[in-house]
Amino acid sequence: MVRNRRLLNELKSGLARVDVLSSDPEYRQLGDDELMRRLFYRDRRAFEAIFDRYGDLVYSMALRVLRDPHLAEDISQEIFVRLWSKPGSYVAERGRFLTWLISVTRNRAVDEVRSRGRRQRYETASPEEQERELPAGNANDPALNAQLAEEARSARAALAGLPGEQRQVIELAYFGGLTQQEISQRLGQPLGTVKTRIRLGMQKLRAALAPEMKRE
Amino acid sequence: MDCEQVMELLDAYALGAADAHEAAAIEEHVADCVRCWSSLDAAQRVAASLALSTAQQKAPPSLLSRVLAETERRQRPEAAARALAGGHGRTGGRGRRGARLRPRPPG
Repeated sequence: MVRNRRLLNELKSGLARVDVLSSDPEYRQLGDDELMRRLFYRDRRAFEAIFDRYGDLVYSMALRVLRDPHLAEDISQEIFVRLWSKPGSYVAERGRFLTWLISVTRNRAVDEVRSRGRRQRYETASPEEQERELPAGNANDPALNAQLAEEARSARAALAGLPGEQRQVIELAYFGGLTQQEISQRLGQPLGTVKTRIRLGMQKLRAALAPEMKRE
Repeated sequence: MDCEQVMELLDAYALGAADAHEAAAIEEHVADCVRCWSSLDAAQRVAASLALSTAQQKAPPSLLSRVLAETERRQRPEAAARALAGGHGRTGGRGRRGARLRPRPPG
């Protein structure tokens, strides 16, 4: 609490750089589930460690869906503030924290797109964007960065290995927030074709990512 | 909806592409079916990996200061309430915008 107040004061006076949050080294050793458990006890260092670990990832995901840096920042703020307010929303027994956090961010961003009625034309990321390496969550945790970078490489390779029409429907669904019916209308393809492409694409992704999933 | 029908729709659900009616039926089914729940978990992990495939951007510096300021602001009333109640440790921590966070498909 005191540490946080000091940081806030330093931020206001311009003495602190906020782009690199030096989370407590002791906390950097802790797993996600343990950090989340500590949020129940209002442990701010645990919260800072989570932000340090996943702040860039949450923002990137929101930006990919929303395509608007200001909105992406708003949604990212909301996600982290809710995490602080309602740590019990994450149930460790139901799955990996990172999977949950990404899902929450994606769903909230899609809700925002829908609530604004912004049916913006979704475009897949350029090859340059897709190939850009992770600058990695933060400079303080090389092991985590290496792990996320490896997962990112595998995910990119798996996605790139899909036939174009399967990759397209999967990206329209996940990043574009479209239902199968909406994708069918958008592409002028029969609904059954869209469903088949999604199923086949996801099967291939599952097979390609199986080694990664086993390591989790 | 039986297991076979649910399995047909799980991938679309994990991607957030099932319609509201399908999503409701899936959620009802997996609440009582361990096998389908396990398959859904696997599909959701694959879907989440898509997020990692996207280009990672550095969050703007203002995000951290905004988050810290807002959580600090919310913590003050909690601390005051604890002091008034003479209690210790864990609090309810209800935020003003405290909505559910569980992943769900878009409706």
